[in-house]
Amino acid sequence: MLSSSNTAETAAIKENLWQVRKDNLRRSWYKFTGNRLSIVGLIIVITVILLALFAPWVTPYPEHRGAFVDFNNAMQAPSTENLLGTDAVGRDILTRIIFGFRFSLIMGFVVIGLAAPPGIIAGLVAGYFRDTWIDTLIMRITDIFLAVPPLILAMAITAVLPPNVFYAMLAVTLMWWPWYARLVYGISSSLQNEFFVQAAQITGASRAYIIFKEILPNCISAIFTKMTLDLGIVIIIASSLSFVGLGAQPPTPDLGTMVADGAKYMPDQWWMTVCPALAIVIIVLGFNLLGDGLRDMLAVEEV
Amino acid sequence: MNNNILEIRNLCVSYKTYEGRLHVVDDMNLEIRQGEKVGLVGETGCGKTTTMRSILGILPKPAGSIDNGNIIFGDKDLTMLSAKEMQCVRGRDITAIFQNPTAALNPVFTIGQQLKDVIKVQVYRKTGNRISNKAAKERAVQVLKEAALPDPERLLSNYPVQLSGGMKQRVCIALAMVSNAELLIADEPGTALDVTIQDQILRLLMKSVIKRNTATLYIEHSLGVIREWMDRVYVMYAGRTVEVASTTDLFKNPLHPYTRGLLAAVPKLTGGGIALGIPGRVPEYLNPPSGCRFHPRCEYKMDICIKEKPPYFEVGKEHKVACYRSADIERDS
Amino acid sequence: MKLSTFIARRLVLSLGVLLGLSILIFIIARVVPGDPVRLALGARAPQDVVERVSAEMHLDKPYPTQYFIWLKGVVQGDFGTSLYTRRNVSEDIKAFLPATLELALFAGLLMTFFGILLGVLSVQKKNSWVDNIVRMISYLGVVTPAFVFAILFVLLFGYLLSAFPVSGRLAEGITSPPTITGMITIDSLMTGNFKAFFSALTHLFLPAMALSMAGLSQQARIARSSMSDNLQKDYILAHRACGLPERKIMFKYLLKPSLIPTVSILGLDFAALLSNAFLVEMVFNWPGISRYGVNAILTKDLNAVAAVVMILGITFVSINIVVDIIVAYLDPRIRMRRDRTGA
Repeated sequence: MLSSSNTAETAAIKENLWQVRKDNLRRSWYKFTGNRLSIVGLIIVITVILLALFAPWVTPYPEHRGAFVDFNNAMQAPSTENLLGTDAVGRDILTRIIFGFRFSLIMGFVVIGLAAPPGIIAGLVAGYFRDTWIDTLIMRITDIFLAVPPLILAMAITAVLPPNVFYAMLAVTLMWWPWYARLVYGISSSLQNEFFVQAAQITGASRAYIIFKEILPNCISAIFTKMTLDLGIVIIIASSLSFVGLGAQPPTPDLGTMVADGAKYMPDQWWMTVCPALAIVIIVLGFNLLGDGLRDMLAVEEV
Repeated sequence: MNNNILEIRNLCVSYKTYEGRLHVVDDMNLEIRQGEKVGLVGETGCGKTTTMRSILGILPKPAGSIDNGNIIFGDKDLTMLSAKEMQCVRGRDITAIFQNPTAALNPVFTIGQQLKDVIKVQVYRKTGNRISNKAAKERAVQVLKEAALPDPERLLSNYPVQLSGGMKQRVCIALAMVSNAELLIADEPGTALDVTIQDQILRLLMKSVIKRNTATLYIEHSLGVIREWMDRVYVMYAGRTVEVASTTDLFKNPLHPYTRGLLAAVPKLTGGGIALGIPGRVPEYLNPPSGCRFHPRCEYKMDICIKEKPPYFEVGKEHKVACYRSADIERDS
Repeated sequence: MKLSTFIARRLVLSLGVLLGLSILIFIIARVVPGDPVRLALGARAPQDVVERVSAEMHLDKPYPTQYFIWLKGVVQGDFGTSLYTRRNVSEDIKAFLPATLELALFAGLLMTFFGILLGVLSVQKKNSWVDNIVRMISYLGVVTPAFVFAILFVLLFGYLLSAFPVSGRLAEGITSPPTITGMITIDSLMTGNFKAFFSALTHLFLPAMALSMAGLSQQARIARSSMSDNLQKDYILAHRACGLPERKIMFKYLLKPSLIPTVSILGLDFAALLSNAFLVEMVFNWPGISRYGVNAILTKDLNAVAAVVMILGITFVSINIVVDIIVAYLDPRIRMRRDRTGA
């Protein structure tokens, strides 16, 4: 190992590195803000997250989120009391939408948080042991999962379990990890021929070290971008499942179920279905714009 | 009497980028006569490729733009031509060969398809006739044979990925030879190839060019090639031609400090010590040095060099230098 | 390698994948908490009936045996009996699959054609207002779930404008043509029944449109970005330097390499069509296999669920093979390399 006798030099190098990192961050931020749409995405996402976090305090009728009936007030068109109208049993739609955001976000974070780590590790391992039986085994398994669209297999899983949101999330999670495995595998296996990997091997670094300290950092930006975009997709899938009754059950405020419930009253009480539908579009739009902005920003760094 | 086929006068080209405007080419001047072989030497980043693209009219848009100057080809000013007119000039009157043959051939089309399309277009432009597929194929085979490629008929149905680097470059040469253009621009055609192949390709290129009496602008950063084949040489630094002379004159009597540094940097087989480099770095183009762009690295620098760009001083037959101190330098050597 | 070798290898690989899928489905279908027969028949069914049905469905045998019995049936086209409709699942599939295929095919055509067209248009007039509108539409297409499109279309074109019907495959009073392929549009064309053809087409339009929006947007975006990237490539420069006319460069020499990523995504987008079909089928009351599948899930009809998943899996795998072949044809470099499906 290098002698640590010249600590002043090391400190200077560290200081320089820190300066470079700050510069990079500033340049990334500049690149990011250059694209107006990405800022819009960021604003949407932050707004939604804040609304979801503080839902009980910012919504006009927080008690409407669960089982609540007020038939006198049912099916009201948008007005000053109920900005987005009321649903079939009298609950304020705006409130339920905001709680629906909360719900969707939890779904999204949980699914991705559970699905990404095993997928990432599988991809790293398969990529590192490229062209061995480990690689083949892992990739064939992912191929099977990827052979069928995630939604279909997720639905099949929900078939054998009682329909509720927890199992729906579980089903989607089980379908999701192979995509991360494939993404990381692509990057990891292409890096195997790079000199820094071979250099690390020659100097005696352990396999775990190489995988986590050398290869993984190269995947981080791709993973991060994918996670952001995936949040949007998971929300779409979750709401799709709820729409047909396989996900959240009433009276939970879920955007998909709200659209389904409201659809029965088309076209007269159109707001009951259109408002939650647009809410879905907005939240997914936000994550997509943000994810695209991240992708543009991080891609430049890879030059 | 002017039998210049190409004249570049006071050309200024810049690129608009994220950080600002890069003034790459600044007051560039160059002349090529009919049938002449002219070399353009300079290190990477000095603006050689930009010049080539400006001549051909294929600067990346919207970033690149010609800010000033003229490029006179024959009796036309290329900077004034419309895109469509420029399209007709390319391939017919001016052709080009690029550095990287792998990148220059479309990977998803066969050699035959690419050759035939070019042949058909060029024949139509030159004669107004449309030739048949068969005739185009015959011409394609003929051109490939001239490029010394074995088994040309079979080659037509191959994809670029199936060819070696040297063969691909020969195909590019064949493509360039299709229409017997008056001017050929070659941008470091040997750089991406092995040294032995480089030599072969070069010989082929020179043979073709001499046979057809095509004027050639040969862009290179390696001096050996220039010395062996070129009639005249331009030395380019940071976007400007700083010296021009016949090949023998340049190597015998280099006068610009940069040229001298360049020549001194080539290690000699006949003794001497380690080759010297030129201190300093290539300037960045966002805020290029004022006056003579070489002044930060020049040991002969004077005050005026910093303030004003030196004009061209005639120091011999065909020998011009853009340096205030060329007389002193001549005296010293 | 030759194209035929490439195809053969892909086929063998896909068979392996399908086999693995069947095992996966079987595991899912059998690892059920509780008794599936009882779930389906209800809590009040007498015990002996439950036992009889269980024996009929071989649920008393060990799992590997069950798997092979099931697999044998599948290969012969027999998926067992539906607990819900009480008839052979394969009959249900024959009844409902063509409707979904028709929907998916039509949506696929819309998606491919308009997607690529919009992408090319967008690149030609880069940064103009046409480009910006296309980009906006394609963005919204990607972020909006199919059922939202379905509902919005129903409201807009079905109720507000009353331009298109919103339910079923044929208008009432029009007799459907004899079943040749099961796809009403094709069958009516083949038998010359133009009234039925027209009616079927108008019924097909809204659901197919709703279904295709996501894929259409993806195609447009990818076509645009891939053409835009390839425009910077050196070979385009070389083509220009050779004097090839700009038109030829755009529509031949730029298009072909740019289509490679779009076609690759086509497989995924078609999969998205199949998997989202159920949303559209539910909204438009379209009697397709996806709606049948959702029903099967809601009623815990496991034989039907397994069958639907296998059928969709086979369809998707076949589509992928076709897409891979097309891509290999478009890009000769892929044929020359070792076949790596993970890369």
